[in-house]
Amino acid sequence: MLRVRNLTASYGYNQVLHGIDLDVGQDEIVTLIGSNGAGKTTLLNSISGHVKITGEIQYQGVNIAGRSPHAIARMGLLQVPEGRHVFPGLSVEENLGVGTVADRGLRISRGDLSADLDRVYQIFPRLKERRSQLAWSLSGGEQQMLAIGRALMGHPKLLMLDEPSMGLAPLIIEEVFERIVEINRLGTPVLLVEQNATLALKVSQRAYILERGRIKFSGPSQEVANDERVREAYLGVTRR
Amino acid sequence: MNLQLLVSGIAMGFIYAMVSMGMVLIFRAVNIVNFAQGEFLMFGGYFCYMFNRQLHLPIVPSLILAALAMGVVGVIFMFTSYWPLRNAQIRAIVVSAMGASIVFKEGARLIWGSIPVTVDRVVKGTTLIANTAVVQWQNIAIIGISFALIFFVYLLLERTFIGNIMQATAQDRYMASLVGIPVVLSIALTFALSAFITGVGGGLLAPLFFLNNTMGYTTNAKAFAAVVIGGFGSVPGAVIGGLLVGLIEAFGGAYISTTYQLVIIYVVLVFFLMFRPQGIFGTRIQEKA
Repeated sequence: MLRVRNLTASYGYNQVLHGIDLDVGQDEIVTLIGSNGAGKTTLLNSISGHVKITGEIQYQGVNIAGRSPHAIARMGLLQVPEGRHVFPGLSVEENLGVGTVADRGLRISRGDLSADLDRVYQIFPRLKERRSQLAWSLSGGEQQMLAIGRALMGHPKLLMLDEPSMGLAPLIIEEVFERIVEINRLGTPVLLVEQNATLALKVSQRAYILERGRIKFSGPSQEVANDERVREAYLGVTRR
Repeated sequence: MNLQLLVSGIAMGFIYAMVSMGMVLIFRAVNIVNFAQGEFLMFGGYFCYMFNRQLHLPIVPSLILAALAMGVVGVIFMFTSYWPLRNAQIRAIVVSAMGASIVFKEGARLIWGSIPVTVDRVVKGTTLIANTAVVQWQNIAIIGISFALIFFVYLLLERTFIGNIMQATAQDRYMASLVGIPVVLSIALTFALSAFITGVGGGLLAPLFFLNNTMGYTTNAKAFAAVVIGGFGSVPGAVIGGLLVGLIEAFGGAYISTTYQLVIIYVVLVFFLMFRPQGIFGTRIQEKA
């Protein structure tokens, strides 16, 4: 599905990513864990075309490195960015509608979205209750659901989620993660970036640990979760 | 109440509404106050003059062609004055727009000369309203056409999908590209729409006041006042603000002084800034507490 090889990215003279190799297979949830400033968001922004890079990004067998962000999104590679980025002045339903551009492209009239809306409302019933409310007025959890729902409207072939737990209450985080697992079970591979390592390792099949722009460690999530170094650095478990 | 003044004030108000609405469209899309918006009005008027008086087309097709030509001018303006500077500081773009306004002004002088020109009226003659007021039909035509166009643009923005896309791009450009919107196209469309709606005003205004290449300057000042009075960033606000400015100008000119029309508008503006700085319509989007 996604195959990243030897990817480097820089902001000016500051190199942020140093030769990243990463794979996401069909039907997988793959998580990318790392501390602040490790380069997780930069990696996602590189894949979605927002950062100048060198190296190779194979998506569905095509090298998409250097393509423009909207072209990459139109191929079904959809990113839900950190901080949610709902369109604040549009209603919930309008936000969801705009999400269909990734799938159906620019057009003057919306067309019939009821099937797509029903699908998203089934996963996030809360959005249906709020459908005509402006997005800025939603709670953080609802905004996160809206951001994910909007991506689903575009029929993602690969979903990249950046810190979906950020700033949410523990109960809401649990709900959001249950939905992510459900979305994956319905057939969408997920690349999940998280600081909440415990939770991310629980829901994912494989994990990568990113440290200062390099993949330090990777493997099945179960193994990663049991690794001494990872436990100490990311799961807050100290050695006895 | 002087009915004649009221009608001509409302007519001028609608012209300003089209300028300030264009200004707000660009402001919402790229966060820049376009100080070349008044020049769109002037240029649209000259295009209309070219089609109507130089190429001898009837006035209605001339207005339509001028509006479409202004759409193209809007896109060119976007690609030359805004897009290369999109990542620069805001003041750089403001200065660039001011520079563009000089290009428009002197360009119009080069192409059409500096002698004031006019175009045909959409409807000729005058009519008597309520047995007391002699009103020019052109004023009524301005009100009708402007209202229809403003309503059309408003519907396009608020009720159509492409309008949602333009709003989404204006609100969060990064996110817009992440859902697959070609951002440059969406912004170009906004600039085209802005120049289109403002440009029509020039052709409608020309029979009443004559066109000259420096008229954009005061128009900018009035449209800016209208935008602030209406509430920065609000489309309905821009329209109401434009109407208010037109009425203040008409009545202030008649009862106080024609020399100080602009001063009177700015006195009202200052009062708004003192007592209701968010304008008549506050913004729809707020920061959450």
